[in-house]
Amino acid sequence: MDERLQRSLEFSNYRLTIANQKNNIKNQVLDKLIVYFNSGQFIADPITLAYIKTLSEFNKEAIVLDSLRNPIKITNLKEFLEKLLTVHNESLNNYYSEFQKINRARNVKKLLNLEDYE
Amino acid sequence: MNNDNDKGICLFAYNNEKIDYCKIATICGMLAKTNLNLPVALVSDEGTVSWLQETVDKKYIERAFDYFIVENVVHESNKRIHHDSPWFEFVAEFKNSNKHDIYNLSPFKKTLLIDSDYFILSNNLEKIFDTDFNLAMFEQAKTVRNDYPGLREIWLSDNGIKMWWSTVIYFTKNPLTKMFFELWNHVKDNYDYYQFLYKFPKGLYRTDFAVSIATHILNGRVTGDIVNNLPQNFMYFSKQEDDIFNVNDQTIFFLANDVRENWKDIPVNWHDQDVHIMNKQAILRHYNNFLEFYD
Repeated sequence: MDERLQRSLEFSNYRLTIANQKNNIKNQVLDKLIVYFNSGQFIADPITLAYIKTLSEFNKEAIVLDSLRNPIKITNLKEFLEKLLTVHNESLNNYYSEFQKINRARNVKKLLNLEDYE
Repeated sequence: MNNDNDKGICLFAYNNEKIDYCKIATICGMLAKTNLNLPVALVSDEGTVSWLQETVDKKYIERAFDYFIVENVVHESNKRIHHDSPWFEFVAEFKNSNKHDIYNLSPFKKTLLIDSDYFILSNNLEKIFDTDFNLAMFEQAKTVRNDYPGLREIWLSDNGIKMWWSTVIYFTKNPLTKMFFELWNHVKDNYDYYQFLYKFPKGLYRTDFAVSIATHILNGRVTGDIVNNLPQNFMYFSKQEDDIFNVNDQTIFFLANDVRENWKDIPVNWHDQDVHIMNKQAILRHYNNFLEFYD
């Protein structure tokens, strides 16, 4: 095989593996962002955080739509906001550190954390 | 048995002549207990339990299971073609005919029923116990290489209903869920009729199809919300054509096969995310590696 093509195909396979690892980590983070509170299901994303933060500045409790579009009575907005923030920060910190590991890896063995594997 | 248990996990394991489900269930039970910190009950028959006691070290059995529920069932013949990578296949009995009995068998008020090849590597499912859901399953799935499942594992037929996965089922005991499991039993007993009605593929009795039909009927025969989604966007699975090439602590390294070009695999480092591993022989090849984590 032409050496130029072989090198390119090896790089292409490496990129495919990277893309898959990145997608898997993204899925992992999106799952971690799911929060249950007062029998509602929410996503600890920037929109929900900003919305609950705004509501909490004016009210102690409120009716909000959850991610399934059900009306949920949040009885303690401050507590809910704290929970959302904790989940959001933990998930994104984890995402960042996993993402950095992937970006630093220069070959498939490093990427998969398989340096000791024969 | 203590019937006051509030919440816990149940697994089914019925060995057949080709697959040692009790070894797979031992790994599954240990991972579930480690990551969810809940008691685990194994539903099995006398033969499988005595094989378990004979072949699996007592310390692993004690770590994996809190309860044994012995349920000797005469399973109807339900032969299934299993793949071990794209290059090898075999036929084995698929003993799943009493899965709907979990409502009566479970010692827990809130039960998480998982297939023994569903490995819990995260605490995501812990959140389900914070909800007031009656019933929850996965509606969507993705492979470890981020592909969607085949069309018949999304819809039962071309113009049919959505498929729900029976791999993981969460339920609380109440009259509604009792009705669901009884209806599931009815669908199983009249499987040919429901195959004709819902036009899903003939042959193997699939509990996925039975729960999907029960869900559809209880929703008023329309799309509804009688069943909730479990706290993950997808059920992740590795196909029977995939292989495992290494296991290290709670990280599983897959060779994820390309369904369109079977000679191509990509390696996948899988951790902190639950996974349904459909290649049972691949799990068994790495049985000792899985146990090493607990030594």
